[in-house]
Amino acid sequence: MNQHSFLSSSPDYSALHLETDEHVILEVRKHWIVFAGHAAGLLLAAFFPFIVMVLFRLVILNHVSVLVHGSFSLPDFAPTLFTFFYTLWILFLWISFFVGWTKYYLDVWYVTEKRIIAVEQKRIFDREISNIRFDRIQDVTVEVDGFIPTFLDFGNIKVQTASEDDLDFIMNIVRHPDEVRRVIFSQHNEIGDGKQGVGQGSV
Amino acid sequence: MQPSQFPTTPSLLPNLNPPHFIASFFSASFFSVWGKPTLFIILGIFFILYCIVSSVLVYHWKAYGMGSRGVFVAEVLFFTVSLFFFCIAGVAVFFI
Repeated sequence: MNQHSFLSSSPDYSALHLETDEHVILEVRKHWIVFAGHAAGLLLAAFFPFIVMVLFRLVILNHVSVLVHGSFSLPDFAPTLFTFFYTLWILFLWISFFVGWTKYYLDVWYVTEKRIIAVEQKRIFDREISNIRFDRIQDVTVEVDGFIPTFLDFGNIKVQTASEDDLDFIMNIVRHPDEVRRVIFSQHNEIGDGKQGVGQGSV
Repeated sequence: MQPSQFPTTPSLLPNLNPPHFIASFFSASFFSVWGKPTLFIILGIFFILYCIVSSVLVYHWKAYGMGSRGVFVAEVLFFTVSLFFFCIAGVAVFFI
């Protein structure tokens, strides 16, 4: 939720089809720890070929030497061959990393002066966009449970709406949930005050 | 036993029995003939798959990334590092 630094790079929000007097004031993303788990898994996977190589040398080559009745050793080009396949493996992990990052980065809530636009990137080709206007919001609940969430400042946020189908907006493992709640409430209050003002003025 | 009418020169194709296959796969005679073309084909197939996946990613970044600086940095990093690894793979095939 790096609102200020992000907006200074002047992103183009035309894909959101905002109204003329509407601006994005906050972007809400999940905490980096969600993606860190994925990245750590890929980092471990990067060492997998070395384990396979050691096992190959220790077990299979000895087995082959015995079965072919003679001494058998890997040829000179074996390290180069290993480099080739290891490079392809790293490239595969690198692509997986960016597929994961894309899903993480595009799963976002845009908070404008009028509404919340929730973009849920479930899979790479599974994308859901929902809108909720501030005058439909009933409550915003923040849940920070445990030592690590408290220490790293992340938690779950739930926006309850007044719609008939009980559509609630939920995002788990959100960065700075209290700050998000504060911004949503302040916008909600501004909309409420504006409506009251218009109502009083028209009477 | 009558002598064979076929030439007795060793075959370049591998013996497919498991221990002999591994041994013959790594033999210089097999690899000098089949090694480079096979690896180039593997690299080519991988590159085609890479192009498909990266075009999907670029589409998402352009369509939904809202032109953010984060997406731009990711794009540059992704292609630079990928190019570096493809160069290493290509050089590895060349030196086998």
